[in-house]
Amino acid sequence: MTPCWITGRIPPRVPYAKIDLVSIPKGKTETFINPAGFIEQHYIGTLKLPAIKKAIEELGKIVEEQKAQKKPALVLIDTSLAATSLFFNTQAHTASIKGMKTIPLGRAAIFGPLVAQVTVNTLAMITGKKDKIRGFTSRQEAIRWLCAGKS
Amino acid sequence: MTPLLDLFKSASDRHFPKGQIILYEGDPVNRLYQIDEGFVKVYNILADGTERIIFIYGPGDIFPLTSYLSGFGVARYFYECMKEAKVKVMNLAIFENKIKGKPELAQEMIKYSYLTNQQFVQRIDMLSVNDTRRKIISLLAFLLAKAGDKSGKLNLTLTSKDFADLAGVTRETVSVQLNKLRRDGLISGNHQIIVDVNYLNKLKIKYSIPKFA
Repeated sequence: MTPCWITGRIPPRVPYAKIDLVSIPKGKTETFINPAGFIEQHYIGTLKLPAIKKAIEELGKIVEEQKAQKKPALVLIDTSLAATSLFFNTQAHTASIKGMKTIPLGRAAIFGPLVAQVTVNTLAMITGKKDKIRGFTSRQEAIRWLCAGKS
Repeated sequence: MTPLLDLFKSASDRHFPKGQIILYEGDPVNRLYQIDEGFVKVYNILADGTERIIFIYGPGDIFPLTSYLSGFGVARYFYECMKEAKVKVMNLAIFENKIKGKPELAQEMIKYSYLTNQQFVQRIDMLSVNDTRRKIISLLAFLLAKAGDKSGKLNLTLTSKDFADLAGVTRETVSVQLNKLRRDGLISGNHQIIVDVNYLNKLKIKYSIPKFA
């Protein structure tokens, strides 16, 4: 394509929806049971407190369902696409602590940036669930630890 | 005193002489240390045998908190006293018992750990700069933040080897640059360096050196 400074024609405007906003992903959470049988949850973008609370509630429900079916409640949480602000939100900490205390998890592995690991391990230590909840750098490490708890 | 430092009130006191290595790289993290007096350098040894000082912990600092909280389990660096240090030492089991059921401490621990990590990243950024003058100026800003007072006096005596290990350059280069900065009026004093804070702030803007986290 001939550049516009040669043709002298003004290029058409790019529609806003077509611009890739990779740096500011829309805040959302996803909860599902993955093919390996783990309860998987994704935290993406900037999340507000109601969304975090809703995600924790959703997780609680699925864990209860799995328990009712006598299946292991192994949880894998991906925070690698979450905004850093999530890990400094005091109210989110309170909601997470409540979730850690009430949800009858088998094991929960959370992976993401260093701040995610530090936050998860600190909260797990405070709730006394250090053996059941742990933060990891990568998905592989997290799955390895979850699998070790299966047997 | 912050609630985090409050935890260490009942911890046992230990004195470490200058040059004592408190933790070796790869040592399991069984205890947390809080510095009351003195300075501890954090360094690694490169393949060619040279030391690379990555960070300096001063009074009030807790280490190796991030290694412990990230679940890494072992020390990633060497921790050595730069001068005689008075340190409070706490066993991890005791620490965990103390923080159990105290969510207000979580916020502080996360923030402290994040800030320390940011400072590490800033230091590593400084070490990767090619311009030696900029490197030394940012090093002086770091030293002033960690071991300086308002008047610009560094409470830490550094040899030219320490400076070289901190800046990641040779001793000769450090000497040349320090002499230039002395002539420019940025620093004065030989053993106890005094930095002209106003001049340093101007240079920080000129060389776009970020404020230390």
